Amino acid sequence: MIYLKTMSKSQVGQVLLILLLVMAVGLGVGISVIQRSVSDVSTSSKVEQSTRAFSAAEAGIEKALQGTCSSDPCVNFPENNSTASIMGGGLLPAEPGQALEYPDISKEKIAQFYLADPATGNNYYTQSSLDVYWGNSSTDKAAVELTFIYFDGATFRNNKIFYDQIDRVPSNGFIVITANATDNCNGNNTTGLVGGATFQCKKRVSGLQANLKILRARLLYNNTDQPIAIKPTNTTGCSGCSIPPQAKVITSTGSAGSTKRTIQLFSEDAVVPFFFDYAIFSAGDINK
Amino acid sequence: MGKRNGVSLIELLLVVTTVGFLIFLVGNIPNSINLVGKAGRQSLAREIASKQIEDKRAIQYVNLANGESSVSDVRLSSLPFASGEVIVSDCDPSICNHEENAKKVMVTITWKESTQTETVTLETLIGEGGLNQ
Repeated sequence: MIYLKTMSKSQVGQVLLILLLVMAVGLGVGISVIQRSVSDVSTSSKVEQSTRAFSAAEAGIEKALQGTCSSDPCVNFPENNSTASIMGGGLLPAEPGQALEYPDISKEKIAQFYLADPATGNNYYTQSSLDVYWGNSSTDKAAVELTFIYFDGATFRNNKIFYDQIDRVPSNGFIVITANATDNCNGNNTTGLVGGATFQCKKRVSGLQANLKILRARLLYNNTDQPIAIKPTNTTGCSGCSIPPQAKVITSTGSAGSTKRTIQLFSEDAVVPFFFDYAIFSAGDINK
Repeated sequence: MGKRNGVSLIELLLVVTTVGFLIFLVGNIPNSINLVGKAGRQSLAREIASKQIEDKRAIQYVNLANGESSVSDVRLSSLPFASGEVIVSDCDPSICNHEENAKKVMVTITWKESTQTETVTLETLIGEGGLNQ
């Protein structure tokens, strides 16, 4: 009798407990299914909006490449409920004496800077020194190969200079940057451009030839994409100390619903692809 | 007062409310599953439309003729009663107000979602010497 009495007492409310457990499980399953459907629908509609915004932003870039934008938004597709606004589009460097910053480039890609007028080929930058900025990492240290193409009065020649942050392979003869008033690799260099990048290294390249035409710069040893820039050594009060206007940066922001997508385009006319470097700009004949 | 047998009012209320809530949840599950499918189909339609735009970008500008064409993509068969069309037309003068060499490309993918018709539309411009040209 005593045993039965104890059992019945301990079983009071057991059904309720099991019911609650079952319901908790059911609730969990139900809520997760509903939540998933809600998040799926919201994600797919946001992605759809985002694609429409991206298409509009591409349309904005196309429009800006063709000509000027007199209205804002530059492109408006009312039937698709999407628009695009454009910023930039003028030739850079916009001001005399300003730097020209290239977007991040990967290892062995080329950044081409015109030092002569890109349209006529006439001399434009006539100083004997130039500041070069590159890299953005203190761990993934990039070296740089600079190829200055100049006209010696009879023929076009190139002058190759190599700089490195560390003495990586002594036999390759790269010049290691030593910190002084004009050069350093302290990771804290800016060219003074508004919204510009911060560079790992800065080097004043001096002793440049006359009749400079093009500088082709290549980053070496880096695993990540890193920026590169050039800036005139003397920025004010001299002639021939500006880099010719040559590049366009167009920023197009497409909007659809509440989504915005931005595309930035960096364009330069007439750049020889990097893989031609050892052909067109080689010293000797090309033999297969 | 001795202990009474049976269920208390609180217990009854709790059970009734929870059962009611459970029924509500279970009733919503088919609807939710439909929504998941719908979201998937919408994403697929968007993918198909983006692919069409990219395909048009790969064509040289001079070969980009005005006109309508239907979308041929094997993935369309995964959408119920789906059809799609690509319309290439001259750029609207209100946008290309300087007579730019640009074409407007509009891709529309339409499919049936139980009773109603769903549409995904993408619109862009392709210009001479522009992106990917």
